[in-house]
Amino acid sequence: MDSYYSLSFWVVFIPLTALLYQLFPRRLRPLVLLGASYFFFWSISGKLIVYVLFSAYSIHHFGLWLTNLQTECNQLTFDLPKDKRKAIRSEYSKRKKRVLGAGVFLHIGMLFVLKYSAFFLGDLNSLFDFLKLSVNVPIPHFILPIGISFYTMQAVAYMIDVYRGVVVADRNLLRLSLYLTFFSGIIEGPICRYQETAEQLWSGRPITYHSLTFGLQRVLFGVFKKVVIADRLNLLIKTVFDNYSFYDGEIIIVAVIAYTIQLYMEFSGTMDVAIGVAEIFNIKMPENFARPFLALNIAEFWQRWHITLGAWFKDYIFYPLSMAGPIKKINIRFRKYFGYYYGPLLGGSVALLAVWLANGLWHGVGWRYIFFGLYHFALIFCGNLIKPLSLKLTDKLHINRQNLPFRLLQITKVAILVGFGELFFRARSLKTGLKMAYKMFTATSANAFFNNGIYKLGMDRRDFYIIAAALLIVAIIHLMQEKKIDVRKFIAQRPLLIRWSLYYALIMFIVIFGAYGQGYLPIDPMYANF
Amino acid sequence: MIEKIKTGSKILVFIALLAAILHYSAFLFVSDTYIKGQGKTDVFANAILSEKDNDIEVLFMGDSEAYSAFSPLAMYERKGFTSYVLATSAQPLYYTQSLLERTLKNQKPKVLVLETNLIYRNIVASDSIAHKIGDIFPIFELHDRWKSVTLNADSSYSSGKDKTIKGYYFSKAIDGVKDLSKYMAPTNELRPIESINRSILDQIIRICHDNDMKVVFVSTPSTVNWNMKKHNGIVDYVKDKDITYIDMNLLTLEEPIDWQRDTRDEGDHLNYYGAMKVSRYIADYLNDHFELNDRRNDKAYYHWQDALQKYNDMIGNELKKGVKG
Repeated sequence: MDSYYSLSFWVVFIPLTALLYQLFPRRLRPLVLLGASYFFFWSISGKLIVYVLFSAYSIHHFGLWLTNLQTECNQLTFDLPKDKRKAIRSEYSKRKKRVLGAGVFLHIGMLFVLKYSAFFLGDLNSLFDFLKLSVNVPIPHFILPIGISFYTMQAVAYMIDVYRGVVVADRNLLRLSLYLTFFSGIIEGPICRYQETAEQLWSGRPITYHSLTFGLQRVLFGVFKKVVIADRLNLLIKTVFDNYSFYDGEIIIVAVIAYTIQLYMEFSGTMDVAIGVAEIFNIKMPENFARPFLALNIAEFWQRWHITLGAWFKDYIFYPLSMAGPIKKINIRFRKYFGYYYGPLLGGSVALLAVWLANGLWHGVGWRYIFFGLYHFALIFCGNLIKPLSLKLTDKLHINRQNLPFRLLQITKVAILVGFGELFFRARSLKTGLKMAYKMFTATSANAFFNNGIYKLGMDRRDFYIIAAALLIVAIIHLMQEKKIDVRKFIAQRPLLIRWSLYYALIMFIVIFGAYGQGYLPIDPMYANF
Repeated sequence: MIEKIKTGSKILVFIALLAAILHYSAFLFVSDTYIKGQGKTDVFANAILSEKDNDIEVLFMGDSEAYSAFSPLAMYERKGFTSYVLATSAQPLYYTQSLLERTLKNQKPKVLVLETNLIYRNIVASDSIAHKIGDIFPIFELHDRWKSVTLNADSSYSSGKDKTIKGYYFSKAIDGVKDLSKYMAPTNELRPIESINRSILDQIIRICHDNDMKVVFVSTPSTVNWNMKKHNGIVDYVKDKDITYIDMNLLTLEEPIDWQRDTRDEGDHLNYYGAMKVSRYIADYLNDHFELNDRRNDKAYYHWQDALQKYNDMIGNELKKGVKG
């Protein structure tokens, strides 16, 4: 069992877990989920499970520590006059900050050492080499436990929320462990907050006909995106990205478009599966995608793509930095010189830059990921800079920004900009990405489309037809969702014959047109490595 | 309670219908005659299903090492016994078992020659389950045929039988070995056979014994895939069993393998020249040690003469074209 798409997950793990969950009395059901989660983690990462066990234990400890300090502070200041109360509160606030700092440092430090130390020490050695210094720092190689970036963020979110008083520290270590390791979110998220899932997971609500069928429908849609679209596109993407020097710019453009679609279908598909599996157990996880390719600008794109990650960065990096003293001072000063729009924009850009550097690094180890983060920072920053100008211009030209053609133009613009960024995400290195980008701009013609060159990249004409048909299905469902139509409810209200026919049709579409078996190389969960 | 029974029944009916659709949908892609006549996937190996019943005396099984090294028609020409290579690329042992069971429904071979490289191939338990499911629902194996579906499904694959040369894979490419220093370096260490592999292997041996078949393990020459640890592991496995083991990597052959000429990919697989040396040796060995029939002048086996003629013509034409690296 190595992913949500493995046979053993669906033939053994889920049926067995669901059966035990349903058979056990309600109060013991959370323990079934916890046992299953630990088994799932162990089956993928083996003894590295100690990391997640340690994480659960430590956030439990830090949470209680923070709460105890708060309680102590409250008791001490209960009967005191205002001036004395302030001094004690200030003292306790400092102590709480130190405790929180230690907890966050421990978790981020562990993530940094395991995930980034090899990258940074490698670059340090390169620097020593460049400076002709005979120093060579030994580079450690650690094996990462599955989902470390995801559960670390959940752990940090929990500690900060306890510190801020958003949640009360949980005294139940097992509940906290389940929140951190629930098998349905451990591989690729969504990144849940304690208040979103912990109680639900612990409530042991029974599996119902509704939760089972709706959950499975969601899973089916996710499998469709991953197996029919993402895995089939892999044939072309792998061919081109592995041998980019053989191909002209137009082929690289096709591969970049294919990769952008693949990344979305794989990640959002896996989210559908993860959220669908949770739904089977009557647990509602937060949504991670909201039709990002219908966004009208890059900032909106990131509000629709990997929503839980964006919200995490916003709540735990952007806001604290924006509210920090030095930034506030910069904002006030800039406001004087640049006015009420550009002043805070320029001041806030420091916090924004930190967010996007962190975003780039979170996605992976390497300069191309840092470039990816900075690229999106530049797009959002520039977008904000030219926004007043753009509004004035459309106003002067009497262009209605709500018009469909104008919106389509904006959607296309976003898709192109995002796609270009994904090139660096997929390329082997920043240098390779730049070379491929250079080819896109300097060696592009329409030859491949006239001499059928695009059909010689691992995908033939029929593969393209299947991709087109599958994308059309996804687009229809997305447009219905955008119009606030609950597709599953819509189907559930149809007569049984139509309903079942639709289900069978979708299953058979996946079975027949799925890219699995001989000749296909399914892609690994892309975000699992982040 | 009634509501629960109703819901449960609905779920069961849905699953039963789905199972039926999955099972029978395979026939939308290929007709029954195609499945029986040409095999499903791995056309070269599965084309044994289109051989005449009880026609084959020796079965060769294994992965790409096997289909690159054994030429049944060259052996037939030399010693007259009939054989077939039932090998597929990266064949896992559970597939070997399934192919063997399927083949024994129509054939009664006397000897199974198993190329040993596949014994060490890692098997994931879920793959084995997937394979069993694939047997019940052929659509999972056949699904990719949608690309070739025409109104006359048979015609699109009718050439499968003609193309086959009894499961042998012909390649005249030459790409010699660069470094032979580590090839079969002596050691007493032993690479154990994984328990899941050992269990399937035991079942294969049992099937052979139940069908009065002798078993011969052969390690064909390969500098990339074979080594002394694996050799020792196989020796350890066969020591208490009625299995003959021939490691051609250690034999001093009359026609030794020339690692600059007899391999198509730097020692990973043999090419035509290497395969001929192995086939001649194995043909002689099998003929000397087992009671195999010489069918060269048997009128009932005219189709083998016919196949041999076509095979020799094909080889002759290919070799005339010159050697490509």
